[in-house]
Amino acid sequence: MSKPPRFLGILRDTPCHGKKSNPDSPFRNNRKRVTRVGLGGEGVLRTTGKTETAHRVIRSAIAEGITYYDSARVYSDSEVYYGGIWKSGPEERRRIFQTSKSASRDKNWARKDLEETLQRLNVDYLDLWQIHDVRTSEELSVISGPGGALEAFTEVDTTLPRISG
Amino acid sequence: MTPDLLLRYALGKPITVAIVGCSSAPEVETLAAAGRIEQVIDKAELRELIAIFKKDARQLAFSRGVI
Repeated sequence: MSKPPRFLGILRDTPCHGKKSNPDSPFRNNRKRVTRVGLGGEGVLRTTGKTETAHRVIRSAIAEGITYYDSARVYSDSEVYYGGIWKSGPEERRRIFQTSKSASRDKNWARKDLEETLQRLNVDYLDLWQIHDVRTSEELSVISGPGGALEAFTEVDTTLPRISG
Repeated sequence: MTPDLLLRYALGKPITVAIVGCSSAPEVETLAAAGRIEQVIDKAELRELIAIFKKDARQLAFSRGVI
């Protein structure tokens, strides 16, 4: 195995709105160092039906010591490809920093996205869950308004993902 | 212009993680190698890169909603 990429820092268990996590949460000790390069959820991962190549890419990233793994609910089968790897290697999954995103603007749909994301990834938590592809102030108003996706993100801060952002 | 040059350009910016999609194991190896080195892009390389992208910069910014 090659020397891993340089590590830049530690992503701490600090929700974006500044509240501390529930001290009883199993995620309270989350401090993971991430490499300064991460595997994106695009490339071959944003495809369908290319499991063999996608798995080769993910396994190569693991072998190279990369610790940051990007994905999104809308990146075709990227989550499913990761899920095939983490299912057979749950210990490896715990060592790395798995992220995903929801492009839903509504609270209930975002929550549904999260449930599906966890199922597709074969994991029981995310290290980072992000609101995907916000481009306009109008979108931001919907997301942060009553019943908007931001409510789903703030509600799960102390439950499933370790960080939302 | 090489992937290594583009990666070193990105890593020379004030970012935490450069997240890069890959389509093959050799591309992952290139990405990881860029993450191991200290050297960022030098002035001559930067000039080369700017010259390549300058003519399309306004259109690219428009496509991303920047302008």
